Amino acid sequence: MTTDRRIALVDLGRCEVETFPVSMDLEQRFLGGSGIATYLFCKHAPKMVDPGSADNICIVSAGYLSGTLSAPLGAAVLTSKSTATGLLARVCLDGPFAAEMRQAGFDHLVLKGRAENETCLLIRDGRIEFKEVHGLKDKSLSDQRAILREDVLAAKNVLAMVCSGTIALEVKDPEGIIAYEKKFLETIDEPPALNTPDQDGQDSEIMEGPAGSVDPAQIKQTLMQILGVQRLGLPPSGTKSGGGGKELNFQTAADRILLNTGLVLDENELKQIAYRCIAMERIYNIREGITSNQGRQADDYRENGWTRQAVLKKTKVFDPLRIDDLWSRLK
Amino acid sequence: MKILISDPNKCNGCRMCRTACAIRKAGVCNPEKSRIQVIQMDECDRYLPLVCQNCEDAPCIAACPKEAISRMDDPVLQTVIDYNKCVGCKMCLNACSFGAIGFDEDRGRPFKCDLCGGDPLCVHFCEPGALTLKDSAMIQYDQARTSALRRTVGIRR
Repeated sequence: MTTDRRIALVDLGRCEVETFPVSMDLEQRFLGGSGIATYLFCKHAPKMVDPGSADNICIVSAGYLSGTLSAPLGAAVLTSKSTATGLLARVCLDGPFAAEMRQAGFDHLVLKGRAENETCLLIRDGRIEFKEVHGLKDKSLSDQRAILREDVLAAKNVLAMVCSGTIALEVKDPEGIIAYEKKFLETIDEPPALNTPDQDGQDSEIMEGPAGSVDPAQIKQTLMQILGVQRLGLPPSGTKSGGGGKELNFQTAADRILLNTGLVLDENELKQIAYRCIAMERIYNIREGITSNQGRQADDYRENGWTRQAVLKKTKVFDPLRIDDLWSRLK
Repeated sequence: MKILISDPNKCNGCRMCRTACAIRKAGVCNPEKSRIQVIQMDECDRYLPLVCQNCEDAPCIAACPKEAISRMDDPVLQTVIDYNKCVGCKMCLNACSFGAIGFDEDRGRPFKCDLCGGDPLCVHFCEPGALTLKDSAMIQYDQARTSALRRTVGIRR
């Protein structure tokens, strides 16, 4: 079964685009945003790739709830192998880009290869056009902004990505989400709803999983990136980032997913999805060889039991995490 | 007479109004189907939400060959489209000075803001308070008061 969300594999060298829908299974396992992005990266990135080379891939994905009433602008996440650390890196893009990208018909763009000339990707209503750009002087301010926002794509020779679209994003329960968000805005000045006390007790503890333990703050942050509710262009109070000030409220997130997409998830499943996403990233980093000179990150891995011996086990780690299809890529 | 006022100095461009409008009116998140449009002005780094201004001498009424758009004597419903007379010729889209009339390609008919019958949803969803529904008599007073306040700040110092 497939969903109406689409992934585009863009081969910049050959100017070819291949699109396929996000399967229901993929959506249930990783939702969207950085979740599916990390999966796609692990799946498509060549082993021990030089991050500065054309073989490295770069994935731009819109958050799961981008463009909906819960996150009208949303946040996009750019995933690639970093030239600075040689590890998997993410960059969050605020602003209307994510919502426009979804309305233009794509949730995830996988950029492969390197464009011959300076190229601009024009994405509109399900079509991707390659447009060569020479010089930036004659561009309007908004185009230059787009270029600056995307300048991390320099190694791909992609200068700008322009998205605009008129594709309707289906809403499961229109009146339901209107009522929910309206109530939410009305209570915006009241103290934010915190995760229920016993969960908060758990929150201070470190989350254990089949592969190793993860800091709860990282679970929340990852989940925000998956859902695309990172920041919404609202005042720094950050009241819209999920209900509890800057904190993400799992119950609010689950309610919003249900009303917007009809996917029934509970708190534990959300945490599992975030854990799965972090696990994939860490397994990838370990495979690529995280070393002690990567400083704190490497220490964090060692302290929390993320070692090559511990994680590279198919039945113990990959099967319970439901990422066994990545075994051949990550072992 | 009620008028929807938008303040570009308060609008933060979150598009909450646009999304809420599209969901209420069309049931989908599609900015094309929203009655309110948020214009991003890069030149001055501002956003301005735009809706039907219910012009007194409305160009859309003059442009409509079927006399489908008319003015009503109602404080809320001022300019209305009669869908029984409308043929979907899009002349009103062309005539509107604000670009406040949209066209629903699925139904083949134009649409515009109807102030949700007096309780606009976008106002509820505008967190920075850039959108307000005001009585036309109050607008002049409020503007004058804001201007007066600005001037008295200097005096107090």
